[in-house]
Amino acid sequence: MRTLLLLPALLFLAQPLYAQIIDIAGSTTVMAFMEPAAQAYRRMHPEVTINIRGGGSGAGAASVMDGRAMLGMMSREPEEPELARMHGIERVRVGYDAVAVVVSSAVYRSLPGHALSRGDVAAIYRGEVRNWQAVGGPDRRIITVDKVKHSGTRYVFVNYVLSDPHAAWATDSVIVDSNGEMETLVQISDQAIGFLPFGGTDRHLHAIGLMDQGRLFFPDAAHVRDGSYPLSRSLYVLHKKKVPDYARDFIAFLLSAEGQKILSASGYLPVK
Amino acid sequence: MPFGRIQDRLSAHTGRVIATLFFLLAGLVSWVSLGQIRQHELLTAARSLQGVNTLTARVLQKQSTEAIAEATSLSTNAPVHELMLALLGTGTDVPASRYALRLRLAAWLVSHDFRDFYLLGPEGRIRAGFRDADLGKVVAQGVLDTLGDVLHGEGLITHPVLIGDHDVQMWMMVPVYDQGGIAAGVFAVVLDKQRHFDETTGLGQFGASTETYLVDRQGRMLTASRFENQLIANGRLKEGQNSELNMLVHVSGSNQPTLAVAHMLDGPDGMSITPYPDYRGVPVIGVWQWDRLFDAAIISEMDVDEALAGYVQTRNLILMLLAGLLLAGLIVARSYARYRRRQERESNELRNLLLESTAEAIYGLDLQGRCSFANKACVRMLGYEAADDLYGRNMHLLAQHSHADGTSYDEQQSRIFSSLRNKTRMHCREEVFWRRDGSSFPVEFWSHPLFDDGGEVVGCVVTFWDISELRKAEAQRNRIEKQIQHTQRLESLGVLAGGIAHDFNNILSAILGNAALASRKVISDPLDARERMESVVQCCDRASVLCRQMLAYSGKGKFVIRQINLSSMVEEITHLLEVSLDKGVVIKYSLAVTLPLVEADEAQMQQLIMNLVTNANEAIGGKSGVISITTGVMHADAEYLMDCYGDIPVAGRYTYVEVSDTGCGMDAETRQKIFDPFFTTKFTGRGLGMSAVLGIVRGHHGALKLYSEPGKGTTFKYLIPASDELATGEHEALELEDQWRGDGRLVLVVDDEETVRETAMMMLEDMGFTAVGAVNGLEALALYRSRQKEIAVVLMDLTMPKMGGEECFRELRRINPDVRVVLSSGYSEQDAIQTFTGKKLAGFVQKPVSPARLKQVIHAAVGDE
Repeated sequence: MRTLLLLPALLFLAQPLYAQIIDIAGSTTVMAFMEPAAQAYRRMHPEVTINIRGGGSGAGAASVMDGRAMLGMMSREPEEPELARMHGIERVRVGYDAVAVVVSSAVYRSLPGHALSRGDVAAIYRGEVRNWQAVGGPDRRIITVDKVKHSGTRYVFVNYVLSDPHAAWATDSVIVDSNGEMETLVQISDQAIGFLPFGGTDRHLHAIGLMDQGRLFFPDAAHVRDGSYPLSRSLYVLHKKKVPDYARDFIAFLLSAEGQKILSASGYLPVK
Repeated sequence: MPFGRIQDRLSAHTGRVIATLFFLLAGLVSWVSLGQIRQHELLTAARSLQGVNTLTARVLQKQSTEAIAEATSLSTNAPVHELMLALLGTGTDVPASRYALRLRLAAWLVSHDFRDFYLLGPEGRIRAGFRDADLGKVVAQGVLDTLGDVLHGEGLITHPVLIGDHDVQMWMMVPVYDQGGIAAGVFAVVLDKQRHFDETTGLGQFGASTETYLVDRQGRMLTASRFENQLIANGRLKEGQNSELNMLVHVSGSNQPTLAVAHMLDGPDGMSITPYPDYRGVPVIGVWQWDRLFDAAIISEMDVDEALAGYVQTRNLILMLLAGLLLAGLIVARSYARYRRRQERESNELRNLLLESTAEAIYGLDLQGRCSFANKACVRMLGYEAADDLYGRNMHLLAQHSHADGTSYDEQQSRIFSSLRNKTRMHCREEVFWRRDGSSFPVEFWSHPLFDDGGEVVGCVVTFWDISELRKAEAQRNRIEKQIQHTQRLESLGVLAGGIAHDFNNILSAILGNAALASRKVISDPLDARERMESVVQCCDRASVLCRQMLAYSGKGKFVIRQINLSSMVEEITHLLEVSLDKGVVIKYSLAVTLPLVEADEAQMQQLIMNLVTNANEAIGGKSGVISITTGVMHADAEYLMDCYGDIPVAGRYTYVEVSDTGCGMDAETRQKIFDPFFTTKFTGRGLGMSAVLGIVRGHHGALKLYSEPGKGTTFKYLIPASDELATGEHEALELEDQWRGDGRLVLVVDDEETVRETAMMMLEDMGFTAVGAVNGLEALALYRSRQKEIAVVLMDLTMPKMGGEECFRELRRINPDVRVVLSSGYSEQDAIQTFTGKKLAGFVQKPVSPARLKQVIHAAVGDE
């Protein structure tokens, strides 16, 4: 009995009074940025302990609401029922996950208007269009480059192009693991198409415009930020209105120039 | 103090030399050690470079082998191989096969860090690749050069080759065999930048300057230098260019290859720890080895500055340590020197104070006899103004040039010179020194030679003092002592006078009686008259002896030294001694028959013995006691003599006279004072006796030993140096006989002194009586009560303890009113009998008792019956 009474006291003592712990849970997409950001932050503030776990955007929102996590990560807009329950929860946009459709430079040069319609892209990826000639390009077979299924970039891409992440897919696509591999492949080939997060384009690699419902969207940051570019989503950090100062300080760090640089390096587009 | 200064200068100089030697040695040791450390550091660095080089070669080989294996495995994969053969041969539907091959290889290539692939025909034309545009082209020369080797079955990785204008690529190629096992073409992949040499050699970079790089046979660098920025800055490379293939490894600013490159091109693998300039012109140490697989040299180099960083740190530390040591040494040396100076100054001050404050004069001499220092007392005594008047001058010529009588005194014969010559201390009790004004004064001086460290004499210190006052005081003392002796002799004479007068009285009575009888009987009995006259003559002889002794005793101021026999002398004055004793005091003689003669004044000897005996007598204080006079000869050593009074004489054979008594003795306080003039314990004394004794002892260079304890008596032992001659004593005694006998009647002898009692008893028995003794009056009374009838007469001493003669006589009369008592006493008859007036005393005998007198008195006492 006495032991039971002592236990809380011991726990209280074992926990330093000034312990600063930030528990973060939610989207793995945001986590890809959050982890290096937390690492950098800890170097500056060794007194702060940051625990990060995944679980998905839904779990991120739920954890903050029931208090299991101080900060939640979300890589999509909250759904209606969620929004109803998220009373008193603040959403901070820390960046954008924007995806550009890229083609090999030989294709880009001969593609009229350097753009494809959403339908064309969908047809190419479904295997319905197999030669660039069919969409106004050179007479050359198309190599579709795809990424492994769990990729966040792929999710955004597929969700937009096919409106369904589980839609049927061209079977002879080249599937790569990373954006880097995707980039190399599209670069060295003269007939490939792929998709990459913003920023991964250079003179050998070209992002093309997208025609959707009669509008042409070029992949630039301004369009993403004003919400007009369709192939993008916002990355959020959620928190209750009342959070400790050190947690606020961490969020400020995420939004600072240094935090945004890390965000960029993680393949995302900074908020500014 | 020149001697001290020389010593100080010498020690300061030696100290400086030792310190310099120490620092030189420390510097030398440090220099040698630092050299060793430097060599060791360089060798250690070179060894680690060697390790880096070897490891780099191994890693490169391993990576190469693995990559080739991967490519080989892919190219032999059945569908891929089929497609390749199709494309290499003249198979159908080439574009379709090409597309299929691209699809098959795409994912593999990018996931394995390859950038591109080509399928080459044996002639070097591109049959397939990722881009249609490349088809049919001939590969670059660098690749083409190695194609033959590949077709012969060797998978390999090319050096970096320039593709196009600026693209540097490395290719890996494996042969593609047809069904017949003949190489139909080559499967080539372009290595991603990550697979280039410099990705591996970059692992060998450590520290600030160590790098590993590859160089081909032409001396071109095959890897990216870690110092690209420097190379661009000094124009060796263009902006944006790296050193891969773009730079010859030459010494900066010349056309000469660096030492490592020159050696690897024409020699075996090796290393250099002797610094040489590298391609930047910076001195480095390096190791190099030729790699046959890559046909290139692997070189690892490190800046000398970095290799020696540890050494430089150690060197600086040691230099700092040395500097610190030097500084500390200097500080310590300075402090010590200051401390020494202060100490020296203080000790000098103290020494000067001592020298100047002492009443004795002190001066120092060098070997030539010149004055090296002199204190104030010296300057003053010699009549000079200041010590400077003496410095450097010959002291013998100044102060000791002549003897007291004015005759010249040769320096060579002086004691100070002999102290220098013989290296010994010298002490001189009396010599004269001469003042500046030409007067002289007696001095006592000591000369101490001074020695240097080697034991050589460097001078001497002379200490002297003016003894004129001392001599005056001594003369005064001698005068006083003589006066005292004289006065004391007179005093002794007074003491003696009573006793002597009595003796003379007796003699005169005898002479008168005999003369009267003779005159009466000269006619009637001429024979008897003649006899009487003879007696008169005898009495006169005795009187003359007495007179002679008196004269001798008074001495008449004459101090005549002659050889005398102490035993004989004592015998001669026996009579004198005995008459001056109290009754009840017996002298016991124990005189040596043969005794060496001594040189002495007889009268003074007699006075000495008289005084000692008189004192002994008085110490006994009226009671009965024994005074022993012993003569003899003994050997006295210095220690024995140290304990004696008198001027301490030398050890040797001494004749002695010992006078001891059974008296009251003396306590320590009294013992200390007995020789002081006018100190006395007696009511009537003048306190001159013992001081006279000491004067005599001194006058004869003798010694006086004193033992005394309260209640245990006193012994004085006078020692006088013995001469070599012996003397023999002769004894002659004459006894007169009386025919009357005692007829066996009983006589009670009462005397507390056993000697006296026993002697008297012996005499009485000799006369025919029976004698019985009693120690005191009480015992006598008891005896008389028990043997009243037998006892014919009582011979009783007057003074006795417990019950004296007077009281006893009264008690005896109470028992028997007719008792016959003969009183014996040291007092004169008149004195004694006065006490007993009208008490019918049977007789009186004066002590000491002679047999004849006793017989006479006893006869008279009992003769009435």
